Amino acid sequence: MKGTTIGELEELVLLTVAALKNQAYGVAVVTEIKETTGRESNIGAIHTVLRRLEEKGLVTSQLGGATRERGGRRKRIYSITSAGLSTLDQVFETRSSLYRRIRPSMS
Amino acid sequence: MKQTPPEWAIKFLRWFCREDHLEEIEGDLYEIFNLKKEYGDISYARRTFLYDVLKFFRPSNFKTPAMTFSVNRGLWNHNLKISVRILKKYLLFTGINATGLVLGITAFLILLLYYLQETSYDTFFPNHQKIYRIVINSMEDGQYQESARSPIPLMEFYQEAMAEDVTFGRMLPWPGFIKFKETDKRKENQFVFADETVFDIFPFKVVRGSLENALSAPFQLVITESKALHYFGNENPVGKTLIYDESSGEFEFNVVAVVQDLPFNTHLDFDFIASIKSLNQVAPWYNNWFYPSTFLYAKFENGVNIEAFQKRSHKILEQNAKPGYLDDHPEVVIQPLTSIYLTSDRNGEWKSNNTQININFFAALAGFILLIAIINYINLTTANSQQRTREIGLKKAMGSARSQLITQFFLESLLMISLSIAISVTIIILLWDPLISQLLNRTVVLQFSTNYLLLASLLAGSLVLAGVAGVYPALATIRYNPIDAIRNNLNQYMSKGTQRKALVTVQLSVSMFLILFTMLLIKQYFFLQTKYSGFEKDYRVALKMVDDHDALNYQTLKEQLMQLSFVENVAVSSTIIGLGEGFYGFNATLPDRPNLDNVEWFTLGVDEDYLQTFDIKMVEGRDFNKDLSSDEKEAFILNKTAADQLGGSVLEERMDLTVYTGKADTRKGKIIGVVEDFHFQSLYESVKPLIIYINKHEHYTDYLNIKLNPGNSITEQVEAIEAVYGSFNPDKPMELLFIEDEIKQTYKRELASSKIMFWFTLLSIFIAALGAFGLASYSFRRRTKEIGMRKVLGASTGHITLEVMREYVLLLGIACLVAWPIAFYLSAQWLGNFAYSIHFGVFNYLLGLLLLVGIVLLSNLHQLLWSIKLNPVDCLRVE
Repeated sequence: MKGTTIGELEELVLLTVAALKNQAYGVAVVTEIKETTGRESNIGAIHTVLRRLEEKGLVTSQLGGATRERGGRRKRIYSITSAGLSTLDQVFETRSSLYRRIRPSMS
Repeated sequence: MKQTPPEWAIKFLRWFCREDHLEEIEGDLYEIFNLKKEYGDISYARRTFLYDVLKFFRPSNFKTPAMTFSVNRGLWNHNLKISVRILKKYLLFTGINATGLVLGITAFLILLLYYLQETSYDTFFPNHQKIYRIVINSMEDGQYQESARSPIPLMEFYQEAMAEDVTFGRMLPWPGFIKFKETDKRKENQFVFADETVFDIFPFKVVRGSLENALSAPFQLVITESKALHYFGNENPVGKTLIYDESSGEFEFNVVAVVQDLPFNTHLDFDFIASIKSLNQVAPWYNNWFYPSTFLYAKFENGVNIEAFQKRSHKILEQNAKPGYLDDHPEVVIQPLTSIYLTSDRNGEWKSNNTQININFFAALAGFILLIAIINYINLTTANSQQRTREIGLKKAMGSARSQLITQFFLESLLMISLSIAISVTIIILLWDPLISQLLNRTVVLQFSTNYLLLASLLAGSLVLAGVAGVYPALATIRYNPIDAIRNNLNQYMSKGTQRKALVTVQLSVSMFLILFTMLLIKQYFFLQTKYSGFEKDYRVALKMVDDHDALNYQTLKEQLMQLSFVENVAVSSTIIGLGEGFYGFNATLPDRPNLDNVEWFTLGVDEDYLQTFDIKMVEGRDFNKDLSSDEKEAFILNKTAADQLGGSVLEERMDLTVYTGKADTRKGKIIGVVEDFHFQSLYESVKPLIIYINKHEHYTDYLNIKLNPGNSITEQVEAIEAVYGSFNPDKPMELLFIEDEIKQTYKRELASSKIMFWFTLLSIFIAALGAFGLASYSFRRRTKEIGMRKVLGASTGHITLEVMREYVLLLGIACLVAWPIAFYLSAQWLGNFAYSIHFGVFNYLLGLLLLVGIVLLSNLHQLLWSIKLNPVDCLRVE
């Protein structure tokens, strides 16, 4: 199933979007990734990933409210779709099944 | 400091970013900016803002092309259409302009290609910056010699001392005959013996066989592709043999590999490389410190400190050199490989090299021509743009912005210049083979298609040109108030043409300089060609004695040749006259004048008929006499320079000359005569003291000089000589040299330079004249009314001519002031290279001025005639 194959950064961003509930937009995702993984990510790259995820139907987006710190520009809020959630499940399933084979006790 | 992100960065973002992503991205950027502002300081946030913007500069955020064009297409189309219409409307201007540009750019490109080619020598070898040539400076027989070569045994000692990170390799040219089939025997001058290591230094491209272990054993041979084709046709030469015929015998060489022909841009020159170990059989004596010497190359893996290397070399020489070698005070010099072609002019180079001065000279010429062409363009466009004031005025009235008008002019220039470049490139490609490569006198390889750098710089160049040439007229025109412009009421804006005059002055100065320098080159060349050398060179040929058989038996051949009805005289000599090589500097002393050690002698070994063969005149004393057997050992003739240097009467004075004929042989004799000076060396050198003596030893019987009969056909005479030689020495092809042609060869470079200079100067003057023509028609048109009025008031034709030409007087004056001193200085510099040179006097400068005045008049002629024929009534009714 081609549509559900996602890369490492895509997975991370998808997870973050899901975790942020309805607060996920570009800068928020970058900050969240920085806080949870300590990883500096390129804002331009994150935007591209978000859009790609949207094309794949794993997230949807709508324009949110404008704030002063955004110079009056509206945010694009991303939220995860059910297809996105099942992709995350599937990825988790694949990884943990492999993981169980090296550490059976940890299951 | 502003508290907001830099505006231009936002503008940039909006320029490239598609609409539907823009709001989100801008929002995020603002947010990040504000975050940074809180954490760090504001200047940091502003500084890094562009960096953040650039993070979004990726294709997924770009506007699609269709969207970009939809905005501007109309405007571009409009501009383009107007540009084309304008160019069509002013067809004369367009034509003159285009011709000037095309010629200028073509000339510039040709010279540029030449320059690029000449600076590309040896750069194609990988690691070329690590490769050096080791050469020797020394004092030989009291003369300072800069040799391009070094002694053969030297390399072994270098290898002992520094083998770890340096690869050494020798290449020793040794011309010989290649015998392939019984019928095919050819002299091969580009035959070298070399170490196997040369392939590590110069990795030549292999076509067949392998260079692995090539040349490691005696009698292995590597040949070039074209020689392979010549000797073996389409067969594979690897494994086959060629016979090398040298005076010591015939040797069979095995072809082990075929390499690609050398490209033109290398200073190396060979067709055959044989293993140097073969020399143990071919010439067992070769491995000595004195003769022959070899090219020695070294590849320094870790770079080299030149000074340290030279010091070390000196130590190596001191420890290892053969006794006697150090007497010549040898000094080791190393030359970077890529510098050799343009800077090295030593004894025994592979082939004649170019000089940095020469190519700088061409680069300057290229620059001058381009300058003239650009000035033309600017002048003509500015002049023409003043006729377009109505158009500009209307556009302004309709609300055109300044930038839009400038764009319009810029576009026109760009159109014009890119068209010109396209035409130039086409011309160059079409005319390349028959014409241009001939003119440059070498095999220049046209490299447009492969040279991306050149293509890119052409593009960039056209943009810059268009900018320079288009913006200036634009700025000059758009100053006008639209109302004045539409009503053509522009007197208040009309400049006195100061800028234009300045530009014309620059053109005139450059033209003047080029005219003068071309005159100088051509005069000097003809001077060298026609200066009497002191001997007759027409109808004199030199037959080379190619092997021991010839050298030993030349007397027989001489007698046979004398039998030919047209041969007037035959004489043997140790070297060829007029070229300066082979006049050995043997040691001579005058017992009566013990203090004359400082004279540097040159010697020429001849037989009794020599002076008559070349019609060299005696000043005093007598010629050699065949009937006096003592002359052969005891007679010396000096040239006038030598006699003058000695001073007083030298006739009958005792003289000792040491000649080397296998061993040193000191002849004790007398000076029997003095001859007029003749140029036994090239005219670069002044005449040096010369001793002429009789020497019939086989080491010195190198040439038979033959005086032919001017009455007979040259071809028949040469054929008859060839027949005689063929029966005398059936093994070898005849080598016959025409003295006049050989001497001409010496001045090949002057000839080539004068030719190029002449044609390109002609071209640049033509371009300048075109410009003057265009400008004249413009200024006459502007002065129509004035001329009409003058006529009504009774001005004569002469008056009017004077009136309109008056402004040129000042410009020409300034041009002279600028060009003359430069030309004077540079001509003195250049003529300093020659021992005999023309006097380039004031007369030439005036002649140059006269030429320039003529050109200016000529280019104004059409307009002058027009104004003379003008009926005042017509022009005064202009409104």
